[in-house]
Amino acid sequence: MSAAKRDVLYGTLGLMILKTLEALGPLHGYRIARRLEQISGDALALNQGTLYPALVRLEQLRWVSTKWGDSETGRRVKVYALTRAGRKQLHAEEAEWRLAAGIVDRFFRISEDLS
Amino acid sequence: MSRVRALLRRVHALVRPRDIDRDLDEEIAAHLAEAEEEYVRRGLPLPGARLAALRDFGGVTHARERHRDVRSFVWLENAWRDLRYGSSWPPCFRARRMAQISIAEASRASVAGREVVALRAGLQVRRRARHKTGPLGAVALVCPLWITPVRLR
Repeated sequence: MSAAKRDVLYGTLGLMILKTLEALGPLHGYRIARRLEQISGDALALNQGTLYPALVRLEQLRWVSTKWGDSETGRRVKVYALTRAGRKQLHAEEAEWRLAAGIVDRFFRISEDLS
Repeated sequence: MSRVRALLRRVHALVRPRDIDRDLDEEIAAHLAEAEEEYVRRGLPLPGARLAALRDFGGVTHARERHRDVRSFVWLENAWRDLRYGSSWPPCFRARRMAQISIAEASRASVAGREVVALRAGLQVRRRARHKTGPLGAVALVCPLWITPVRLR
């Protein structure tokens, strides 16, 4: 694992999965893991195994739905798709995240404003 | 509402753990096979590809345990499993095992009780030794704790 890679920030994995499913449509576990790594520009150190507990949590909350299907290589895989409730949750979390990031950003700019 | 849904799903996972374990195993196997295939396409030999896939996954057992933690009430699932395991024995073995466990528990409690009594007695003797017997108290104080109760018996 590269030293430059960052651990996934606690609590953000679910949000990233929902966003990936919104952007790319239904995907199976391995594809979600690869997309997360690719979207982050391979900067995230994601233990792919941690994806499944996160997915089951999202499934429990009915933010994602599942059904068995076939992968591109013909394997039987569980395919995850974003539900309407999941999309709503994603938009709410996205707004909260942007707000929080904006607040932190203002603090980082304090020194620039003072100088 | 979401919490109620999550709770219902957990209850479902509690009563059908084997189905969910089987699904998860199948899912993990497919994941590893896909990863392995991708590494092979990129030019790694098969054993290396398999290792790389496992490394990226980061511990199959750990993932299974985390999945189990999230999906259900672990302590209740364990208790249920023990109960089912116990009830699968023939009645005569079940009765014998229950008797063995009861005797073991009772004897353990009895020994523990006697140890407490003996330790208390030992401590009292030590206190007395320290306060009343003068130089002998020092001997009692340096004696290991377990010697004093044995002598008292």
